[in-house]
Amino acid sequence: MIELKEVAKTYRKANEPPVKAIDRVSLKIEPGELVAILGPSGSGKSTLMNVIGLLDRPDSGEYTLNGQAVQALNDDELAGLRNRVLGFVFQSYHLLPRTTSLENVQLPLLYANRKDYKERSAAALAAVGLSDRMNHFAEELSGGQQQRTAIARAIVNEPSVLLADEPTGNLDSVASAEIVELLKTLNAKGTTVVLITHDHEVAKEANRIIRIRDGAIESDEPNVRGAGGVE
Amino acid sequence: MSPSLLFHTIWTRLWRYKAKTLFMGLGIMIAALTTVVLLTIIGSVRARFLVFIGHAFPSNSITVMAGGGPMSPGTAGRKNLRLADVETVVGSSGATEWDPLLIAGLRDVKRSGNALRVGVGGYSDKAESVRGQSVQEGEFLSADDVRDRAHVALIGATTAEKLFPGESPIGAELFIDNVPFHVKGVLEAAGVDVHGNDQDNTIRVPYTTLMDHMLKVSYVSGVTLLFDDQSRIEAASQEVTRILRERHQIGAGQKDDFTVITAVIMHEMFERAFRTFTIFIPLIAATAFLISALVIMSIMQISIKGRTQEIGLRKALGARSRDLQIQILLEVLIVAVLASAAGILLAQIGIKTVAVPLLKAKMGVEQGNPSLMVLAIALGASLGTGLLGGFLPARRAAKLKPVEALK
Repeated sequence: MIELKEVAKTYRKANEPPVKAIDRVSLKIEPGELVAILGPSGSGKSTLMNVIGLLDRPDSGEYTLNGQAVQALNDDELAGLRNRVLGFVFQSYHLLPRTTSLENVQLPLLYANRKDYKERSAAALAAVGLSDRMNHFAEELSGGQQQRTAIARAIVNEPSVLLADEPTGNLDSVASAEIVELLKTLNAKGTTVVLITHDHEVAKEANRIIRIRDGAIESDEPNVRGAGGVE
Repeated sequence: MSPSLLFHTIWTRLWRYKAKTLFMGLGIMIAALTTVVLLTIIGSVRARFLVFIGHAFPSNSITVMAGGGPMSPGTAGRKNLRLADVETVVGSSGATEWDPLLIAGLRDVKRSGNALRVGVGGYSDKAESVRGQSVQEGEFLSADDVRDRAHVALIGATTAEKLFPGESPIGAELFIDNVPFHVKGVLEAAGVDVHGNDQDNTIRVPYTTLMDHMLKVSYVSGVTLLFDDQSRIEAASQEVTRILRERHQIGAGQKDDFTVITAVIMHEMFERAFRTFTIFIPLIAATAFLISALVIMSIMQISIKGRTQEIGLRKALGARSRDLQIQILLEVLIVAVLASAAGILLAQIGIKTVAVPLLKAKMGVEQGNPSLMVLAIALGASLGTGLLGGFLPARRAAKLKPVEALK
């Protein structure tokens, strides 16, 4: 599903020494896994998420997604993969203001050119339990509802991989638990979930925890407490 | 991209950000309004002038004016066109009909209690056919009237209304500079001319009466010759010039003391005078559109800057650069179309309620419907403005990197 080989990314700014955000990272994630990438801020986990999510290109190394060598693809092809194969959940939700939940969920469908976008977006909102909030503007929803809307948007195009970057970072404990539960449900239905977090409690819900520090993988082991299959 | 979802997206955005949409459209609306109003008025005025010229100088006629002609000031040669000259010219040019004209200027006209100053002119019985204006009441001048130097007059509708309110003027007596005349007919109404003068405030008497009994002169102000064959006009006008130069003993290199006007010459003169408008009006319109393109561009640039996150998100969710360019350009184009439609509508209202009534009173302009051409120009310029103003912002949006835009 996801395979990184010796992937590195260095950020260069004028008048500053270059920063190695990730340094020769190799990892493999199989279909159906629920993986947590755990690390403190500045550890390079966000860069790793951007590379896995095709939002940023690595400087070196190989990345294979769904059997496709990503470094050979152009920007439009990457956009197509982001649209069809990947779903994103962000810490700050990234919902469009003055835009209803339903319209926010329909965003990926615009670029997927789906005729059944109304049915699909309504079904995705139903799957996260927000059918009664379809026509509310994003800013009228609570934090937990906004993140559920964002998850509905992430799954509306039925991606194989869900990338969640600190999805509970802005939420209280009750809402956090709901979101984690929702991600586990989606994983149980077959979606690969990659959870990027600095929160050990959230990471414990995963089946496998990859610890990252200073741009390199520190440890990568199954999580015995996690529910479901362990490698 | 899904077309219906794209239009829904653009439409709801424009609607929910009304103030921005309005600002973007305002410039185009004003530019379209200005263009349609100016071009329509120019078109109507031009059409009115052409009708006026066509009426005054029919294409099968030659008009000879004493002196430098209507466009030239000064009095040189004004008294040099003798009746004998006119008769010779008529005889050798092959004209089928002719009508002299003697302008007597404003004269005191009295009728019992009422007194007026009215422009008086001398014509022949042929004026009816040569100048295409008959009487609406009474009878026209006859050949006998001209031969006998009869004291009869045709009066314009306005003059009739002023001197004989509420009664028929036919057969009544009036005095021109204290000389008595009988009213023989009331001329058909002609409205205002292109200079705003009321053509119906006029009195026409036999030119012979005017020459011999009132002004005591042997010259006329001009003559209009009619021809059967339009192709003869060019040669005939040269012949007229040759004869008059010979009779007036004008040597080679000296200027004519008369002016020969044909429809072709008149049209050339008119188009030359009108060219200023046809160059400057499009220039003004183009400037207006250029300014609104700059306004759109700056508003869109600011808007794109404020929408960095949205654009980054759209890219993350699968939008290609081209998709974003299309979306932004369509937004601008839809605003441009709506704004130009509003501008055209306002222009129509403005033309109908303000411009046409004003122009009708000032120069007799009858209609002011913008031509399809004018509407197409306004719409085309609006779309061009939108494209021009939206192009750079759209490119800028498309170039944003998702990872930077999402920060």
